[in-house]
Amino acid sequence: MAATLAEVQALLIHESALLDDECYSEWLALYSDDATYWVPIAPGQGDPIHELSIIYDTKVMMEARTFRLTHAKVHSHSPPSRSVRILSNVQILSNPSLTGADGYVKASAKLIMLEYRQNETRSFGASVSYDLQRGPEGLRIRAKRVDLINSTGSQEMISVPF
Amino acid sequence: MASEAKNGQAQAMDIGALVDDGRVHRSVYTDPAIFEAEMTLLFGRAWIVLGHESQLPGANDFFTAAIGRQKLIVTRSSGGIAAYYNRCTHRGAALCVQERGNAYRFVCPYHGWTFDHDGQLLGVPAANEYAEGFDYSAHGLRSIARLETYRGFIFGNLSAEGPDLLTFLGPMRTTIDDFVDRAPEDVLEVVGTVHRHRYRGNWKAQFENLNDTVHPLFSHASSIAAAEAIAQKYGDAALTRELAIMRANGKPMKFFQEAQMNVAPFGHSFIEGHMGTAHADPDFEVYRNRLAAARGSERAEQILGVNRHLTLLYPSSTWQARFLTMKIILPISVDLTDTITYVFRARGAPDSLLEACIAYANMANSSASPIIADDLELYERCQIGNRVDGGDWVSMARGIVGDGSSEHPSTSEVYIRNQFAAWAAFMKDPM
Repeated sequence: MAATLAEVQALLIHESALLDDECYSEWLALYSDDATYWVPIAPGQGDPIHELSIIYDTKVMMEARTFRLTHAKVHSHSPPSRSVRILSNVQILSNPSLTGADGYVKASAKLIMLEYRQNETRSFGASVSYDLQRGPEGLRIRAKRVDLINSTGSQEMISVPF
Repeated sequence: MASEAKNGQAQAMDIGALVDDGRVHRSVYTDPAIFEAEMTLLFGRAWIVLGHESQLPGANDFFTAAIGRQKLIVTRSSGGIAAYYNRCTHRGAALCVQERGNAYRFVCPYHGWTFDHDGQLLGVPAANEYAEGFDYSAHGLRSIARLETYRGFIFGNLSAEGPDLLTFLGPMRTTIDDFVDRAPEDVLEVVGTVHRHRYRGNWKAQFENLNDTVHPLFSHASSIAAAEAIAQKYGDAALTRELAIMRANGKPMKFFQEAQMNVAPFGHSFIEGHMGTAHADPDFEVYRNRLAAARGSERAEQILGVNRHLTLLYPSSTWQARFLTMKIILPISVDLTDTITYVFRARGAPDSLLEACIAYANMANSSASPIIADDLELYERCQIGNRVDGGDWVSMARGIVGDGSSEHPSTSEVYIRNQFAAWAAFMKDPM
């Protein structure tokens, strides 16, 4: 069954809320086992394997990343930052008529993330795109791609997922 | 102290007071006057890596680079690779603000002053309004004093005086050899994307951290634990290349004490590898065979057996040949530093080598790396702490009792003492 805009929006907003609240186990559960999470460097970058990326994670690396964020000695996240994500302009780009692995719902959105730590708030802006897959429990994320507007610039340390 | 320095030159006696036996005065990290002096006396005279010839594959290609705070344009002139100060000779506008590009001529956007790749000024508007005989030859782009290449890598020096590049590289030339020798076809090609990370700390903090083999257990505790947790939960086979690198930081202190640290004149150093010599991927045999076909099996084994982790080429860059990764460290101000990380494709090697290099470079250089984020945090904490009066000295005395020997454990801070010996030599030597 095709996905509705309302359904996709609800999923993406739910994902943002889980990240805002650092609910990492629930966040990982939104992703399929073969998921990828990609923050490219070059605009329009096509290749995460032969080109560098700010982040290119498979699911197990996503899990390791979030494990680290709750570790007692995560120096770059102690004290933890506080962040809020505004996700907007959600669009469905393509919507397969078949369920399951026969096709992905491709969706896009715009993201502004504000992060506060140690007396400073910094901001990130990105175009985000998703491949969503319908499974027995509803829509899950098969791939997320975050194209930061400053992806080619010098990055200060990044700790939490976008 | 050095804050009384004039014209960017610190007094020789002041430098002697800043670098002591096994310790340095904290102002070397925090005093803007010392930073100014470094720009003139150190970055103004050391050989600094600018890039690689594969960044200029075609006619009229250029890229921008820096030595200290000097912004440069690097391109091919009729006489070879050239580096010019990035400044129009009219009103001083920066000519190139792109990182790289292709330009038949360099044309200033302000008044259209036009330069060729030899830096010659070819045309100005309203030339007849200048005094008789506008002297085009006096308005060419200014070249840096010296530029030399070694096996495709481009180095610049702002000073006409001083040792040549090979003398400056000394035994570190073998690291550059290590890079190129790993390509069956003797050619490296820079990958298009680069990492750029930044921290609010002094440039020397990075040089002092990268060959430090004591900090990983403490600084990287959270990423070591994360990798271990994945291994526990899913088994060792679940560890991706990236997770294996995170875990490798957790080797016991004894391992690092048994690995060797090597230091060389001009502040350079390298440590023995600790990530194994063979890439653990199925195409390694393909790679080994291609290298053997190109160089003979014995030589190929020698090349693949070079087990060096990071080489620090002071004061410009770090080099990791096994993963064909090179990072340039760019001082912006006393408490702000940028870096650019390049990865190279070894022509003739299978794709899997590049894949391994990309995985390593992401884990070792992305500001979002679970490893690097903690290093950047700690550089910033050192900058914050060194601004307060909680002590005047920064200790670099670990392993100092062994300095008389020619061998050092990788846990010794001898490489930092070696960096400051070179630093002091440059800083005490007036221009």
